[in-house]
Amino acid sequence: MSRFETILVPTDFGESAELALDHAITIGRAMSSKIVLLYACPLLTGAALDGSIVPSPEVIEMMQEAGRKGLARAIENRKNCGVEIRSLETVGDPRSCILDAAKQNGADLIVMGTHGRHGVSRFLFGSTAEAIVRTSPIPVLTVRGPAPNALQSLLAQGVGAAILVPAKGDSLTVA
Amino acid sequence: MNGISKIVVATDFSDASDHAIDRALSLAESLKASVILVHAYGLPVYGFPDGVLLPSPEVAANISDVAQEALDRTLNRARERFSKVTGVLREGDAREEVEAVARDVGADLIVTGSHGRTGFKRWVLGSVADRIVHTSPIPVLVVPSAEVTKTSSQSVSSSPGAASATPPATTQDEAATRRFGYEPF
Repeated sequence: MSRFETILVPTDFGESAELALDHAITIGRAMSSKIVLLYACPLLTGAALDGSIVPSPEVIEMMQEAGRKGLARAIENRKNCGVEIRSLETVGDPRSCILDAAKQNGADLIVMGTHGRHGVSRFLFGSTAEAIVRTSPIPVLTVRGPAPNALQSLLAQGVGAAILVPAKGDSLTVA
Repeated sequence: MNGISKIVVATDFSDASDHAIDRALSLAESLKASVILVHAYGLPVYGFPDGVLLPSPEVAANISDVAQEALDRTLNRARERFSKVTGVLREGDAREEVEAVARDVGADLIVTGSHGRTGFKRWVLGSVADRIVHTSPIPVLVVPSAEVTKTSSQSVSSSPGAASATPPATTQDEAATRRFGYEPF
């Protein structure tokens, strides 16, 4: 009976990544797997006419620091989950970082959220997740977070107390 | 904490989907979940300028029977390993039917191979897997077909003698056709 020994969970600390981590824990508990929680700090570059703009070392350091804190918090929040979670941090293109980290840590499963924090909401499927599903040599479990839509933010602001949302066609749910 | 108690697996009787089933059974056993195998078959419809040619009821029934037999065989193989497995046969587009069944049974996870039998090799991700990961609100586990050749000897065949029976890549489609009974297009 094959089991997953090491599960890699790439995170950008967004909602779908948090859900993905919880799914990984569910599987990890059942299969006694270990989890590697990865934050791949993206090197955001901008193209300019006479070259490209790269973030200064200070900016990268700041982002890494934020990443370290985020990883520590995510693990702290789940310290009694019954699965060993290790954190890992890299800098670079998230796609290659994720696949490299999977290989280097001997991961046999990747669990990730399908939309990251960045990206326009019309891309319902995160571009990073898409690239990983297409190229990963190991199984990938994708977890869809709540769509980052305008309705939710409106509701969060208390707008639209009487928006009707059709559910199943046979009943109406008052949101 | 979210549990996983029902796992839907898409199967087209290919080696890739057999491998996905294997993965799903392992998961189900660990999670104490049940597995629902779903196969969807399409009926051939030929379009002409003046209309469409639909298969006769006999042909349709024949295709359905063949699909049911193939599903039963896959189901029996799976049950040798794990008892909580059932099968669902649907007529229609696999991309839609798998999701529909998952929704109907209240599945917590969908498992699919990255490539089935109908996708071209050049497509990086099979159309069924591609569609499901994009649209499914339920988590989806995509098991790469590349794993089949790599791990077939240890995971797909539980009996030691069966490993040598793996056909070379060029005859996989033929083998699948033999098992399934007709050539899809």
